[in-house]
Amino acid sequence: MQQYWINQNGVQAGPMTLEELRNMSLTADAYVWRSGLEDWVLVTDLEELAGEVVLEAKPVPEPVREAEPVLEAEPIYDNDVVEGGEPVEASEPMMPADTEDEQGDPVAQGEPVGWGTPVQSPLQHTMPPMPLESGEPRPKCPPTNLVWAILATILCCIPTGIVAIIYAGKVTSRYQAGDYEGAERASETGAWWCIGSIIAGIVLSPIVSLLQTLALS
Amino acid sequence: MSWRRAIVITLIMVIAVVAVTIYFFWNPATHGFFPRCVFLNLTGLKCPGCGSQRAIHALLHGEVAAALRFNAFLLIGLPLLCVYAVAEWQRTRWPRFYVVMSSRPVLCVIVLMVLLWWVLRNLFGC
Repeated sequence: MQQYWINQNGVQAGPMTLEELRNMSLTADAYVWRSGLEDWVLVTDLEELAGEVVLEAKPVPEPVREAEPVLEAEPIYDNDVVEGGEPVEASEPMMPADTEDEQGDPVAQGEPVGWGTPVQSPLQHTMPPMPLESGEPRPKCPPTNLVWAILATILCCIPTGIVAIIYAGKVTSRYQAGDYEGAERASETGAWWCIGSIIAGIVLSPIVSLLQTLALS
Repeated sequence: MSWRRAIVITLIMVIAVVAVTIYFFWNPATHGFFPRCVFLNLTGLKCPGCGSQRAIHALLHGEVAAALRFNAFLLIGLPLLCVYAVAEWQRTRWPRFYVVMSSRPVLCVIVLMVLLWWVLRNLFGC
């Protein structure tokens, strides 16, 4: 299942499925990220979302205006920071309340906001680090079992090894598309085709030979 | 190296040594205890791997021409197998190589070659 992260007006949310995205009210300036993308892209730029998500008619200036006074209204915090006060408090107003905890904390830790820069630059505000860097690491690609698949194909006299090769291809293509669970499943299915081909090749062979000699005699 | 990996590698090497010994000293063409192709027995048609055992016996004795006569596809199959074994083994060192070798286009070419070989050898009896 493809998972998406959304960043709208500096508020990050995710992971979400496509279904959940459809039910969200997004503006055209919201950023989206899924595994496989180099960086955040605008919702309008991601082809697979075209026609899927409902875009609201630009209330963009509003949240920006709302956000700016908040940051500027607390110069006290900034002064505290400069004097060597608590950077934690300074970063507080920049962390939106409804940001998910797992996603939110690393964002604050990853970017040392509030230390030297009293007011966060708008770019940083809208572009936190990608979820993968802050959240769970990219899982390892499951084994493709290609060695066994080819071995089964050319040695086992059961042409089912070809199926295992096809599943090996599914593992890599799904993994690159970010479908880690699907890759895992394809890897497992491919492994069973390998094992099945090898065992069937060894076990069926004497049985079939025996039946044949019996039938001929 | 984890214990599991060490055990798997040892097991593979033991099986490989045993297999090479068996295929060197006994000829599959004359000894009955080698597994026979199920597909050939059932359908009368050769599978892509038919003749591999005799070809390996011939190869181990240095008879390349005979090996090719038994199963010409081994000429592609065995090097390919080595390439994939290396790609798997050195996966952390050359991740790009592994990805390219397991990519869909490369695998499609391999599957097509196997299928083509399967059909051609039955049409022309090679």
